[in-house]
Amino acid sequence: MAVETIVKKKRGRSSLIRKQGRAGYLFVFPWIIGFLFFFLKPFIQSFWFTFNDVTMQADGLSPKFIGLENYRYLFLENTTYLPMLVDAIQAMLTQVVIITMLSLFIATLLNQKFRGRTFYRAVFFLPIILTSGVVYTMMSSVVGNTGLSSTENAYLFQSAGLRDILLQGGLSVSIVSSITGVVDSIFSLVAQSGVQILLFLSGLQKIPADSYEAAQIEGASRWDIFWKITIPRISPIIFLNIVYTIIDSFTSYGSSTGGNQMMLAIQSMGFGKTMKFGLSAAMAWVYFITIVIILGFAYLLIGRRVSKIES
Amino acid sequence: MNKVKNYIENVDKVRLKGDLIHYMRVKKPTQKLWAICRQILLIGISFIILYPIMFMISNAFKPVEQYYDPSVIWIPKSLTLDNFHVVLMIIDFGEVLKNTFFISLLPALIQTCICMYVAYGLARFQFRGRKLIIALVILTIIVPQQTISTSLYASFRHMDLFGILGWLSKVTGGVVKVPNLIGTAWVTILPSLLAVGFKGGLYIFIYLQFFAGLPKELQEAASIDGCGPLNTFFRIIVPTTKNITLTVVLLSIVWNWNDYYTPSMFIRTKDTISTAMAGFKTQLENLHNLGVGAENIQTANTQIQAACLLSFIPLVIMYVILQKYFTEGIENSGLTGI
Repeated sequence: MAVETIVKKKRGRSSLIRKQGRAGYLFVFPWIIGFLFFFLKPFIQSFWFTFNDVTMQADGLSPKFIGLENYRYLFLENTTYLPMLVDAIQAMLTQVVIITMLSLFIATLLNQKFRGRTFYRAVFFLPIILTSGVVYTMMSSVVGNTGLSSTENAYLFQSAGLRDILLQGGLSVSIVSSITGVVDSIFSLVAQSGVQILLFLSGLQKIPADSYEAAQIEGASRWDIFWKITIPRISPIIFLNIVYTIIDSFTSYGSSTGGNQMMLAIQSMGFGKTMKFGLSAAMAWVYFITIVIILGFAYLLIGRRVSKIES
Repeated sequence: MNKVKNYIENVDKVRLKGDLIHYMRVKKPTQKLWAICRQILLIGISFIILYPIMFMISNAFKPVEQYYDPSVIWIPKSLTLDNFHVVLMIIDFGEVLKNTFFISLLPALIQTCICMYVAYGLARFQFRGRKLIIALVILTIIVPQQTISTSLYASFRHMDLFGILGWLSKVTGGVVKVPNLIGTAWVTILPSLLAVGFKGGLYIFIYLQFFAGLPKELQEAASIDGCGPLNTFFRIIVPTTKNITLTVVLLSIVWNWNDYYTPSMFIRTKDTISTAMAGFKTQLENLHNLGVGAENIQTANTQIQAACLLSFIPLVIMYVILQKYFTEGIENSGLTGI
């Protein structure tokens, strides 16, 4: 009798969970349709395109199979693609390091209680609204170089004076140029950190105040508190921000003068004068694989030491 | 008792706020120094952020001649709306706004809702393939748009629905035609209806974190009261998402509004705000070549600023209204859900 009840209970529970679980499909099915049709199909098709020479005809695209020719061209013949790729990676590395540290610092500042905090928060989230592709490039060309208007503005966000001071102080030229490079791009770095600040702030506010109080009672210095309490608690968000910044940096649009040229190049190859879809797809795929490899590194180096975010 | 007395004697001020008593310890001089440093840093960085906007506002209302006037730094000697007139001559704002609404705004709003719907299913239900779907969502975030946009273009050009419509077309002798969706708003509306529009994966992810942090009791209480899963979702869960939905709506409207890539790739015949802005400079130059407007192309900067200003005033207004929820509501939004 007792065994029967146990067996009955077990069967009842699992099928109820399963039945409830199946309701999940009800919610997810629009996405599945969308994913299959608007993502997976183009994804696989564009991979197929990389092995073809694709031209646009009246009734559709006509691919002509050419095997690895596109890749061979990219890696062996073309002189601009690989340098562009290396450029993008270099830019991404500096951006990730600086933006993550900068946004953590700013978020810590904004988390403290002081007058005008709401105003400053509103100001710091403003870049999220303003950094679009087009208006941002227009603005940054204005900010970086104001043409013939008053001369002090021309040096506003540039580091001409700083460079001289550092050089005279005896630092080597390469160090000085990397420091001044950072200062020159401070506008774009701050403008790109909006979302990161938001995420960090959200995470910092989740740390319960009693941890801090307990540490202070134990006599920990502020430095200690920062490293032993704050950083471990927000480590998943640090990882999230790093991943987000990597993706954001790789998918951002430069203009013809600066910034990430890769996206523009891929687009113009496919839709510009040449209309070579196969080559454009090959460029995009190599780029994508590079991003995946870098994200893989990020996960191996950092993600593993971090507590998982999702359930 | 003695310890408490000691503690109370050591405080500097005691403030009563309702029934909470705030104790303020004596401020050490280092704390004051830090407060000053902090203000300086914040003001400095705020200046970097606000400078372009101030520059834009100052220049948009500035008459063209004063642009190179060295005695005019921020406040122009006389205000003018001329620049705006030139901008309106070039860009038909009524048409552009209408296009932007259908191509950028509507999909943004639709997508927010659908992403919330999908994320709820992913977060609160255990079913086979759930982890796989989450991994695929992350894949959609990682893949850059260019990788799939060529084939997507071809798909939209002949919206064939896996060959069904093509077959129907042949069968009905051309009565049912395979539609060409390039240049219509369907390019953005269809994917967002299915939660795979621009940055859709990201919104799903945000909502996923949020819903994962909600207590299970909510669902259980609802089902005890007789709600099925859909009812639970619409009646119980949705009202709890106020704060985070505001954030996501703001983000999605902003990102879709500013998105230059999708309209320029798929919809070339109509202009949205982003593409109109991109073409503005060249059109301004064309206008100059025809002899209209300022003589010198360099001085056209004022008009450019006016155009920039017009292009995101709606966004800034929306931001100013919603930012209260945005900034102070982060605490309860569960954006990160740890």
